[in-house]
Amino acid sequence: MKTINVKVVNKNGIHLRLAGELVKNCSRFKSDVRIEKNFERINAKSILSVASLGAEYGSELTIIVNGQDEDQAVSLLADLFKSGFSEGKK
Amino acid sequence: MFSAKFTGKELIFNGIPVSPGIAIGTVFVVHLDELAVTDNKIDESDVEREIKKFREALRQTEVELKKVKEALAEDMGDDHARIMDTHLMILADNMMINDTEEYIRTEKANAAYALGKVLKKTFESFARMDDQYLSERAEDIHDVKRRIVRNLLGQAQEGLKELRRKAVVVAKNLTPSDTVGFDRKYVEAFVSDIGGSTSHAAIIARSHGIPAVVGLGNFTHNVQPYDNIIVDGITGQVVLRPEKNTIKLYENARKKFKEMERELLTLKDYPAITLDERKFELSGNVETLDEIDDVVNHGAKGIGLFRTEYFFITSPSLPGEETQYRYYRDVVKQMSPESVIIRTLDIGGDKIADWIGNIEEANPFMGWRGIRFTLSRKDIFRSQLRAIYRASAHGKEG
Repeated sequence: MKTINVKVVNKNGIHLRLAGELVKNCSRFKSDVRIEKNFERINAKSILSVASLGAEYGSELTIIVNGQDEDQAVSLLADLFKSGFSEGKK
Repeated sequence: MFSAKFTGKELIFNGIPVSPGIAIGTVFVVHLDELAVTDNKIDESDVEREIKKFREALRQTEVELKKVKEALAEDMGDDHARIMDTHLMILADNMMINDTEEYIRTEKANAAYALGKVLKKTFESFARMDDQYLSERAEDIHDVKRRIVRNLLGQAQEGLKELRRKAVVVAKNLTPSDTVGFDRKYVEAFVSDIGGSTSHAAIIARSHGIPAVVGLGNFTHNVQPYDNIIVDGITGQVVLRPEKNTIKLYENARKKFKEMERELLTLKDYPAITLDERKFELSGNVETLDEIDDVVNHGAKGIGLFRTEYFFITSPSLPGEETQYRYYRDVVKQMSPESVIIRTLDIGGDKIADWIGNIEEANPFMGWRGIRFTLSRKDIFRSQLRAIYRASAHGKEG
């Protein structure tokens, strides 16, 4: 199991479309991916769960990955959050 | 203003009568999604069938969303069409699907109700968000839910224009976009939860001679598609699932009303003169071209108010001077030699936001509308004045 802490750098937070991006990325891995915010833990492969977290700009999230490809998953997710999902760059 | 009485099986409601006449028929619900979901339980033996029904509805919704995506791509380009990818992801959300099926299994709930229960939690967390931008996205989830429920209930209609049987149309509220392209011959009456005598449904109903009752409170919460219903547009009474005796009573009342209408029609050719020989001009109000025949048939001498909002709202894009000119010209020609008074656009900016760029207002009823809209969009005002001026050449002189 791997755990990382990330910060939301996107100005509009993790809105529905970004939640979709996140889910798409998580679903590429076999590992189970969970996101925790304020002690609430949700399945990162569900767009509705991710979106209902209400992860606004600046909020801190913990990502917990468990499975055979957890290393790759963690490093990709860390990059994703750091780059702000490459929002605006396309 | 409204009340519901329970007498035996039938339910009696009292609302505001806005267009006279009596209709006896079956219910067609517009925007069914919000209303017709009941908490009816299913039998243990039907659980698997209900789940299959749910999956089938998901599949239908997927086909629907993909069609919307294609249409969007064609109209607005791939960038816009990508919005639908989010919708498709919501539709495929495993949490939603698994939880709904689980709820059907454990609670013996019908699928539409189970889905509502599962998504309720999601909507609640959205409502709790401080960040307005994030919380507003709940609308996309509502849209997906609406589509699934519609497919679940086997009523794939998008609106009134899909109506292909004679029915009493029931809605929370009827907006111009709901009544676009509706076919008069299928609509026996209008019934709505909210509204008053000047609301859109009332105007449309009166101009088409359709009985209507509005302001019925939470009427739609009680109604199911295909319910038997009686609408009395004279007293404002609506009877849901009426008993045999009640139906008989109203059949007589309807007959009497029709007889009275026929009698009144025989008077239409008498001149509009009072006993002390004052002459009046008797004219009619219209919103659409197809109402003009009705006005003429009832002996009106001209059109006293031609509203142009409906024409604007129902146009596929902001109508320019030429389009308007042709439309007004047709009205004027049909009424010639009688006069036509055309009213310039009296509208809230929100109604035609699609063409003039999105505007956000806390309360559109208090804001950018009517004369304020007219004066801030002089380009639209001018094109309308020019079109009316040109159309007037086809009417009577003087």
